[in-house]
Amino acid sequence: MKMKRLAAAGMAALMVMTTTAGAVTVRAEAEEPVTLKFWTFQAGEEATYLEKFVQEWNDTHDSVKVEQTVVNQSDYITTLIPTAYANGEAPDVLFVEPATFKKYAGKGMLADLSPYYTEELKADILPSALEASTYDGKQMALPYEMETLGLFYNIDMLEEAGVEPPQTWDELYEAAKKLTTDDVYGLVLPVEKTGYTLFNFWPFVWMAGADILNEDDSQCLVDSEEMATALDYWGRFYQEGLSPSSLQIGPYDIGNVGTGMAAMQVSGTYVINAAESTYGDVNIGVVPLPHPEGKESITVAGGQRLAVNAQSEHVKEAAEFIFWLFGDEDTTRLTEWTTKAKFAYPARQSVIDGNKDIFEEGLRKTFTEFYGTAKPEPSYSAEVTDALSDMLQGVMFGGSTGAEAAAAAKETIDSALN
Amino acid sequence: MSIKKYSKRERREHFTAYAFILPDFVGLIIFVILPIVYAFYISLFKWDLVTDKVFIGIENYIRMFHDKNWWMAMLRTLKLTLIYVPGLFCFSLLAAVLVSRIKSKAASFIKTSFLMPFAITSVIASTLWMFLYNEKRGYLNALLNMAGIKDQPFIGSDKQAMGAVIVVLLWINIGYNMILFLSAIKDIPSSYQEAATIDGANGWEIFRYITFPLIKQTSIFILITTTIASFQVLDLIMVMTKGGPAKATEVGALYIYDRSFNMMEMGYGSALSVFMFLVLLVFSFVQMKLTREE
Repeated sequence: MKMKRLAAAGMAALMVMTTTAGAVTVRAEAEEPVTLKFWTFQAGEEATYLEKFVQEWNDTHDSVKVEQTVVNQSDYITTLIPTAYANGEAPDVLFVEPATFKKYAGKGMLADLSPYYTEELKADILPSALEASTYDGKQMALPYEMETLGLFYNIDMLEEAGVEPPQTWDELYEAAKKLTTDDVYGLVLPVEKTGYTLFNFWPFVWMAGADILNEDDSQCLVDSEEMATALDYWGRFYQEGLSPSSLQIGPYDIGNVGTGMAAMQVSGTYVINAAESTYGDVNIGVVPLPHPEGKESITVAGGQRLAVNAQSEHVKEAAEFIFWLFGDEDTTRLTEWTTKAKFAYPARQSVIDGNKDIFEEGLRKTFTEFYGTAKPEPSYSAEVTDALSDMLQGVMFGGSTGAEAAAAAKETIDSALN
Repeated sequence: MSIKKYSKRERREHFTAYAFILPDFVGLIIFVILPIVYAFYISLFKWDLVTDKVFIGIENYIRMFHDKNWWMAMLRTLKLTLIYVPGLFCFSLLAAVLVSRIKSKAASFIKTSFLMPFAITSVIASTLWMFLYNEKRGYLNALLNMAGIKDQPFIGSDKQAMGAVIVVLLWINIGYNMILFLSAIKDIPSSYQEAATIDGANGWEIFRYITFPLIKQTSIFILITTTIASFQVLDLIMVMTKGGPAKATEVGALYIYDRSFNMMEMGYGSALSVFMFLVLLVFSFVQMKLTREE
């Protein structure tokens, strides 16, 4: 009995010794690699390509490994990132968009990436995109894709109704009116109080000549006649039932036109692939966003950017990863991303120049023609964004006139600015 | 009062009972009680989730009293509660009384059908109803058209959206509460009813003087739980309307969510939650007191 116990103890001691010894030798052999947490929310082809890129990085980098986790997109921008920061569990690499950029940068959540930008890269990135990723004079994100808006329409429906693709605001309104029937909406615009609705509204603000804040963001300019005009124009589509007041298919999904539920829809470069494949049997065309009489058409350019978590213990490694991904001299990955994984304009001139033929295909050709009219999607603080969203909802569904809604927004924004 | 002495066996039984409760109680402490205490703690700070918490005392609560949007949101919650709770109570009680009269095998089929919506996650239920509510292609408007009524926007209208949300809430919850009422009705000895019938009572009188008074405990329970639930409606609204159109369905819970996560004002959001918690606590105490008076 005693012997047995002694033997067991001896065995246990031996086991402990060998394992620790093993650990020591292993550590001596190779430095523990740094692991970067990378949460992605992309789906379909985009997900496939991201996975491929991560695999490629991990195969070629021994000391820094990227650990990819797939999460839900709507959680990502609402609860996931803020709570992860609160717990100190946020990923090292982040996706930010104009709607979240200023909010995150303003709270010091993003690391300064200026040291990682080379002069060549800075010169290659479109100036407006670079500017939109700058906060307090520092580059806080890496822009890589630009998504612009246009007016998509069902060619057959318009022909049947004898309607020319609209070019001016009046023509758009008349066309929507003519095309609206008991079964079909004339024009689909976003409905809900989200950043996406604002994104679609920006071009209308700019075309009307209105503005939100002055140069140094110290004064609110929304209570202008121009803003009231833009709001009244936008609101009219909902008030008169030309645009749906609730949507079954998301406003960012060309399915609204594809399924025949609507004749026209404001949407972006991101729906081109679906318009050509999923709804390939529907005759879908695109024109620049209509403009007020005597003015130029303007569109908006949004899109995701990559950033690094300021709390991260591996800011340098994370920055190296994102610049390898889409900011590298080797532009293969960015080219694949913007032409194969999805369709978007690369934020770098060299990639646009190197792939001219792709940007001339089908619906892309039209977008390429008016690409130069794009202004970057602006970024405002959470309070300002909220007030602007309420202003839009007011004219869309709240029965306010443009002037009333704008005055209410100004009041809220003024108190937020002070 | 003398200290009660337990026998060995009684003590062992008590131990067993507590041992069974323990796992649940630990869960309750970790996932319910601690978060509530922590929310109260956070409500005294200005905290954006990212930078350090700054102690500001009761400033968040003072801000709450001046926050017009918060009171508007609470008013909408109250509106929802005042329509939803009595509606749910009456419909599920009616359904329970009717089903309890059915003696054939159909009863269990009907019970299951009523309970089905409760088994569906609210996100799917909301999406389903969005199909029905669809203005130009929905079944509801197709039915209305047949009756000669023109298309209604439902969740797309600031006048109808709240009602449309309440209908979905009722659809989901009537079945479950009907089952609660049913089991309470089943507990009433059938001899009471028989005696009343012999005395010449009709159906309404049996309900009014026998059934309803005897299921009072269940009624109070349902009133309390559904009132609490009506204050917490969030997922359904987030899927169907996101608080719109034009804030028509921006209820208190959604406002708290928006403040806490979109605006990243966790301290203020927590203060609003604590306030809502206290309102519900007071309400529940009053309800419980009323039952004790019997």
